[in-house]
Amino acid sequence: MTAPTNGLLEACGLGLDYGAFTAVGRVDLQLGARGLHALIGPNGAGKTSFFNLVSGRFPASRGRLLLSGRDITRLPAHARARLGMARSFQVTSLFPESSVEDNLQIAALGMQSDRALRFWSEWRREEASREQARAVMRELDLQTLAAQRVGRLSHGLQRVVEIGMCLAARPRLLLLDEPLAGLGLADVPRIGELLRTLKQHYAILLVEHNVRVVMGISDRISVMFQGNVVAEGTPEEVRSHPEVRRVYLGSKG
Amino acid sequence: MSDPTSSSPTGFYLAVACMALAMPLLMGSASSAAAVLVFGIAAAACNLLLGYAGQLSFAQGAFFGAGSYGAGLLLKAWPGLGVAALPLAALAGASVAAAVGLLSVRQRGIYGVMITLAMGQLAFFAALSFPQLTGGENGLLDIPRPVTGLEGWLGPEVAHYVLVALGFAGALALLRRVLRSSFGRILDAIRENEVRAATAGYDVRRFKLLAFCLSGGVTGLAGALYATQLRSAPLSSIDLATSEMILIMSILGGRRSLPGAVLGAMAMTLMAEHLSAWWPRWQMLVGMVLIGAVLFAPNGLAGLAARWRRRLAGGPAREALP
Repeated sequence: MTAPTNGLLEACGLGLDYGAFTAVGRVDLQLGARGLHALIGPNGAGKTSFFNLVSGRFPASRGRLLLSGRDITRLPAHARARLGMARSFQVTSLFPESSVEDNLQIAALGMQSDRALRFWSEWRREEASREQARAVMRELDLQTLAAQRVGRLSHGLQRVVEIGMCLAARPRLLLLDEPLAGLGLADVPRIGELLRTLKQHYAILLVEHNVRVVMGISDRISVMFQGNVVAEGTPEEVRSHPEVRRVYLGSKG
Repeated sequence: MSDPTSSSPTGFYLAVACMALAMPLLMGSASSAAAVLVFGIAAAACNLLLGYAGQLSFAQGAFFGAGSYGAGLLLKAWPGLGVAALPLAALAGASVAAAVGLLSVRQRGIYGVMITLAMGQLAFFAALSFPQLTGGENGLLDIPRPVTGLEGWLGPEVAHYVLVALGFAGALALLRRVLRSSFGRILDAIRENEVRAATAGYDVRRFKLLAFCLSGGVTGLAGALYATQLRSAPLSSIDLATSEMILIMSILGGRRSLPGAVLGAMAMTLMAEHLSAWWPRWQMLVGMVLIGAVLFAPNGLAGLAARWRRRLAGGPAREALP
């Protein structure tokens, strides 16, 4: 699982401008069907902007994006989600007034979102998506919290629920934006272990600041600097890359 | 979650039936009671948008007026339509709501609200500008009431009240069903976190648009019943003031409770009847009551009722609704 083989996700010269400011230059990136590909780089390197381009939150200023060979550059976020793309957010983004189970079930039903437009069919009879939500709760050990309001959970548990929402959609591609952000030391290994398990079943694109964790769990790493990818390779290759030492690791001493 | 979606069906329908039966006694006359139920329908429909979809709409009066004029025009042209004019008028309300919604849901936040305001004004001036159709400033007069078949037995006023009460029960049952549906659940999730809902695969605009159409349809039914109650469709029924009144009722009663909306309509009607006799500037007092409600009872009369019920039961006095 070192090099990506047949591409699940392929970005060709993808870029984003905010007015005159270029947030993302021209990024080329390929993801295989399984494994974890991390995006690292100093603050303001354009990692989250690139993420928003991939998830469809912002329209690309240039370049193309392919999912399993299909051009999705112009598709809105909800349509990309239905093609099997699930994302988490840097700042926790959940339905805080809803229960853990409802959060997961909403994520599961999103794959058949037109079904949810049926205003006459009862929510509590949505068995298929509820079963999916329960399966995720078993997988992540959240069963005891099913009825808890998500807004009342600890930050660490909220991050777990967020990953759970991605899984509930049964995606092919997981986009995780700093899942370790703001976690207490005790929670970091739990999420790290979770990522290690997940990458055996999914393709994961991960943005993360915790370099030590990234080096330990990534199959491939792309290093971004000033809107562009300046180096790409296995953790070992990236670690010894002179450009990387200069722009990123070097700056951290 | 909140009470219309979690309360037992028996409790809900019992409350609706009690309100319909007791309203003439509480209000002292069939016509005031009918007005409360009509505006109760409109405020409950407003709750779907305001309390669940999180959409503030100043076009509720346009939907209401579309129902009033729609029912009036239909019944004047074909008096034989009878009660079939009511669903057609609801369709008129839903159509106007679809037009408003199509423009409004494309805008974010405050800009969507401004669209509803502009469209509400537009509807008023449209009604004013085509007097040959709408009667202009006089409104549409001499609208025949739909024949229910109960007139000979109960007399015309009570027979029409029964029609209003049935429309009321039907509208609230429909809204409850919508709120408890998958659609209602997702609509509430969109209000909580729109970006997350879109990322989960939901086309947020379509959900909001459908919410507008459903709210507009039910509000149109209320407008139609208002016109047949008055036997006329006054220009004021499509006025911006009607939108405001519906919004105030919704906020006073509790924007996330269907029975609460009826309480809001009742409170507003009682204030209009009693305070206006006492002081011509009574609407200032309504403004103060509204400020008080927003500050101290954000979930309206329904929230207060839930708090008292819990206190009587000995539980902790917590705010009921999220």
